[in-house]
Amino acid sequence: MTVAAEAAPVRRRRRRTPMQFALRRALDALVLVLAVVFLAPIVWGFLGSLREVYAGLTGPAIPSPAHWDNYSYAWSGEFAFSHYLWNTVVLTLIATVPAVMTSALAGYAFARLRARGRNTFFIFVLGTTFIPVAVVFIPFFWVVVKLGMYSTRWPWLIWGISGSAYLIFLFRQFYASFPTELDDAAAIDGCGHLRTFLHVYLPNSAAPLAVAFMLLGTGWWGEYIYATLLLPDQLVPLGVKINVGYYDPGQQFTLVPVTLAASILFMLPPILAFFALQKKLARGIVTTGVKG
Amino acid sequence: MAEIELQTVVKTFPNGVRAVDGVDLTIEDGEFMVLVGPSGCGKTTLLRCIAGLEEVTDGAILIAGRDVTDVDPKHRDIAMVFQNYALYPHMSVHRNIAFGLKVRRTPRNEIAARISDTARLLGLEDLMDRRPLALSGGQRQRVAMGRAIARRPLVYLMDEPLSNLDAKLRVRVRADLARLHAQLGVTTVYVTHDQVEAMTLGQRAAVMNAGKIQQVDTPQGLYWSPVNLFVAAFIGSPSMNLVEADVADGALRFAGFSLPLAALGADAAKLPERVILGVRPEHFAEVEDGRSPAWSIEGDVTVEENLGVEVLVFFPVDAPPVETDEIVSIREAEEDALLVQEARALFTARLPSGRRQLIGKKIRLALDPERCYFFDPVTGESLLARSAADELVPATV
Repeated sequence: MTVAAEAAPVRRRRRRTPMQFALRRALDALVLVLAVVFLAPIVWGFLGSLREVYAGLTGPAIPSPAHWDNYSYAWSGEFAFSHYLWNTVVLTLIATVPAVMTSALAGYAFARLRARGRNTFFIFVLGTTFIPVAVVFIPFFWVVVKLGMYSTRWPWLIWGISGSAYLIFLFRQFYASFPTELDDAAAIDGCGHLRTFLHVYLPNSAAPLAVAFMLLGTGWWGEYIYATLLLPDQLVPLGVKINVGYYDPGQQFTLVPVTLAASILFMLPPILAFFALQKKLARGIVTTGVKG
Repeated sequence: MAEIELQTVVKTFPNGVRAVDGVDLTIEDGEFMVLVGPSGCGKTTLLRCIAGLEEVTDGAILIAGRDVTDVDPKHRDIAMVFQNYALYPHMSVHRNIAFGLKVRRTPRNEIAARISDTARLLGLEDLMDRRPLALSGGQRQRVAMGRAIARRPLVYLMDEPLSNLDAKLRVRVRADLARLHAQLGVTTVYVTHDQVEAMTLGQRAAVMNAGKIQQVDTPQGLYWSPVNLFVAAFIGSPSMNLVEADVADGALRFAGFSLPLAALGADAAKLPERVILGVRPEHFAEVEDGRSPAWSIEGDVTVEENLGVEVLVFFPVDAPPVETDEIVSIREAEEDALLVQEARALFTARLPSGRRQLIGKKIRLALDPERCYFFDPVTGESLLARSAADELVPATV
């Protein structure tokens, strides 16, 4: 008698119920609608930036021919685009880099240092994220003026050094999951807390660092209100200048396509940074449990 | 000289747990001392106190005659190997080994020489550029050892460094560790819950329970002369068989058996009315059919485990299992049993293997009175002194 070999069990996908299927499709549609809502202004701006220079806000949806020269005009015409771009870079760096570093250090301290009242202080720091910007706006302006920092970049550096409660939370969550044996090994190897942070924790923090730089960096890149209020024209970032728009005094006409081209150029660095850090960002969001 | 002296060391955690409870211990220069005990007994906390990773609540720690009780770990001249190796994930093997030396500002040529020596000693030459993630468990273990060796400290501290290795590799690395210690001769404190590691590696071992040292002795001393019920039950695999017995009318009575006390000679007079009798599984001898020695017991074999060269037979005896605090603390540390514990004590005997099958059969086993242990049921202390026996237990009587 021959015995047939038993067929290997086939792993079947669980069949969805019609209700689950419909719900899934509805969710897909919702995501698609949201994507369109977020992308539409960018696409509209890009297409608008290719219109004829005096086209204004009207004109064909897809311009033909495409006026790419609007981009070279945006870079070279009317005001020194590169100068204000540099201003933006400087303000973003001095506000972001120290903030990420101090937040990482504070996150390490909250995660690892044993100190009385640590958790209470951490809750206090977290609590500051719930204070609306509008509440501190005038007091902050008054402090800046009194300290003689009006019309300077110092406030940005002070913001940077002060760190960010949100990022402190992010780093604390990440560092709390580090094996404590690494701290012990570093202590035996001769490291104090600062060296342990710099040589062991920080080099293993690529993912939360990427998240922190992106979150804070994009915020400062596009910052408008404080820059308008505190800085003189030669120090304002590009966003403030673009907001005024390109203008032809002869024709007394705002050059909307050129302004849109400048906006697209202004958007490019954060978008490129996002794509460059995409993998680390995804890992950072997963490992820190922080949703962007 | 790198003698370690622990003077009434106490460690109480903020939540009130007294993890180390007045430990006095002297570890000689160049000695391999094992701290062994069930999980939660305080052995790792004690090791961390020696390392300086935990602050001592009371008492003093001296290394090479210097009081290091309040000294930072980096100034104690120690190196430590961790259970999960604690290698820096972003550094290559080379950088992992060199890191501690760089932090201590060791001259560059000295670092290179030490790393080269260590790599040769541990066979790490081909792995120096790899990161820990690209290494196997055994290789990581060697790197962790290398990091400690390259430092050339006064003392090595090892916290269960073999527990993450598979069984085969563990046996090999265990032998390597013993060889390495013989070669380097550095004072070593080794923590393990595995009594086989304790017995094979340690020149002496300190058995701990509930934050206290129960006994410090050579592996042979712990096996042959346990000072109390805890040490007797913890050391030896399978564990010592234990049963409560009555001493009355010149006989030792338990589970329906009656063994004449005359066989114990003058020692018999030292026994109180109630004792806990302990017999190691390997100290039973099978009784041939038709014979019935005075010191023998009988049982129905319910489980038989043939290990090739020997066979373990399990048989219940008609008495409740011993449930003192010490035994319960050992059992709590073991993994949960699959089946509910029997109401009767289950004895184990280690017998030479043969062609016969014993399962389901009645078996008679002889006991050697000189190799029976007696403990006080209240204090758990050993009641009769026992010393290492030279001759083997006869296979059959």
